Order: sequence, then structure tokens, then C-alpha cells
Amino acid sequence: MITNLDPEKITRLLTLSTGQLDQSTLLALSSARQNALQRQPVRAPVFALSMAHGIHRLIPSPIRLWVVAGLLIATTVIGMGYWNHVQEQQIDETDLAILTDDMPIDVFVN
Amino acid sequence: MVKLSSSAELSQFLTSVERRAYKHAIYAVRDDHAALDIVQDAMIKLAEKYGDKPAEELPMLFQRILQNTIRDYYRRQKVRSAWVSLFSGLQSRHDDEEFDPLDVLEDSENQSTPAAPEASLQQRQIIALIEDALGNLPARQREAFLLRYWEGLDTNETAAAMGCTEGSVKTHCSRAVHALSVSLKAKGVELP
Repeated sequence: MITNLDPEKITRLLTLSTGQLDQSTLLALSSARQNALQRQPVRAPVFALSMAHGIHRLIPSPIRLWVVAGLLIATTVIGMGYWNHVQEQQIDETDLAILTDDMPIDVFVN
Repeated sequence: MVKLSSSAELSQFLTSVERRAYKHAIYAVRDDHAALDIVQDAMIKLAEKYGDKPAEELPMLFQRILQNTIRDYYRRQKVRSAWVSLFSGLQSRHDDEEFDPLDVLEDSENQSTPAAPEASLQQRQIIALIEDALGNLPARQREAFLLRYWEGLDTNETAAAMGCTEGSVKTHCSRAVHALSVSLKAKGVELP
């Protein structure tokens, strides 16, 4: 009957054998490792909410991107609406002035 | 809270495992270049898909990826062999030649390095014989043996990495140890 050997004795020798790899193999392994590390995805936050660090970490990056895009669009739309409203108000004031024949002098100067 | 692995942790893990991974691949495919490709593929897959996993999950994930990459290599080789034999029928017999680790041993001894002491030479020869015996094990037995005893995974982790049950892992390990005992005894190897 063959007696079972101790696996640890074998693995110890196998570990020793890894120290006998030639230089070109070690360089190739190092290069492979560097290649792999360059492919590791970077999970940087898009923006940081100063009052809610816990929340912004819980929201995945794509959702944060949509939130940022939505905020930008909403700001733009509101800004354009306000600008239009101001313009209309100025035109209304001019029309009223024309109708009441109460135009300021600078209108005629320019 | 689960801590995700940083780039430094991933680098440290890959550095610690790359040589053994290369040896795993060598025992499986017996081709230096293919083994390097396999290790590189496994490293890239780990970094791309699981690079942000907690550091303690990396060993099991990497071993699973490595074993799958080795299996993919076997499949590609099988398909390639089928096509080659279908079209040529004149395939070189070099691929079928038996691998003899003593050949490698002689090559390395012929290099310009100074002659190793007798003990070191004997150790190298024993390692070569062990590696030969490992290479001759059935793939699943070798896989189980290396993962369980060399990588230090427990039975559950080894089963997960191999995609089988814990019972199968125990059976494979037991048979591998027995087969190695028989093989090394037949070659007159006494382990130090």
C-alpha cells in the first residue's frame, strides 16, 4: 500500500520553483500586471454634495450624470424664460409710452 | 461596510499571485507563451470586471477566471486541431511529443550561470519530477490539488472556483494525492 504524501511538502517545493523563473518570464508577468492595472475601472464621483456624502456614494455614477444634466437643462430653461419675460416687460413699457406719447428723450437721441 | 479594493491593493494581489498563476497555466498547457497569455488574460479580466471588488474576494475570483481561461484555451486548441486535421492530415508530430521536464532542466543548466551546489541540483530535479507528475494528473485533479493545497483555498472556495460540489473537490484532492504518491514513489523520489 502506498502511503499518502504530505501535500505541504509538495507545495513548498512548488513555491521554491516560482523563485527559479527566468528574468524574461518575470518581465512578461510584470508587463501583464501593468496592462491589467491600466484596465481597472476608475470610479471617481462626478460631483460631491457637501451635505450628503453618504447619499452621493449610494447613487451610481450614470444616475448622477443624468441628475447633473437635468439640473443644467432646468437652469437653462428657467434662465431663458426669465430673460424672455424681462424682454416682454420692456417692450410693453415702450409700447405704453408710445401710446401715451410719453417717450423718454434718449429714445429720439439714438 | 464592505471595503472596495484600490489600485494598490489589486497591484499587490496580482504581484503575490502572478508566479503561481503562471505555474498553474504551465502545468495545464505546457507552453510558455500560451501560459503567459493565459495569465495576462486572467489578470485583465479580473481588473476590468472585478477590479473594484473587496480585496478578500480577489483570490477566489482570480482563480475562477484563471481556470476558465485555461479551459477556453483547451477549447480553442481542440477546435484548431479539428480544423487542421480536417484540411491537412499532415500535422506535425512535434505537438504530440511527450514533455520531459528533465530537458528543461538540462537547458537551464547549460546557461552561463555558475554550477549549482549538489543539494540545489537535487532539489531542482525533484521539483522537475514533481512538476512532471503534476502535469500528468487529470486536469480536474491537478486543479483541485493546486487550488486546495497551494493556493490555500478552503473546500468551499475551491468548489466555487472549479464550479463543482465540495464532495467532488474532496474526491479530486484525495485521488490527486494518491496519484502523486504512486508517481513519485515509482520514480524513487524522497521528499525532503
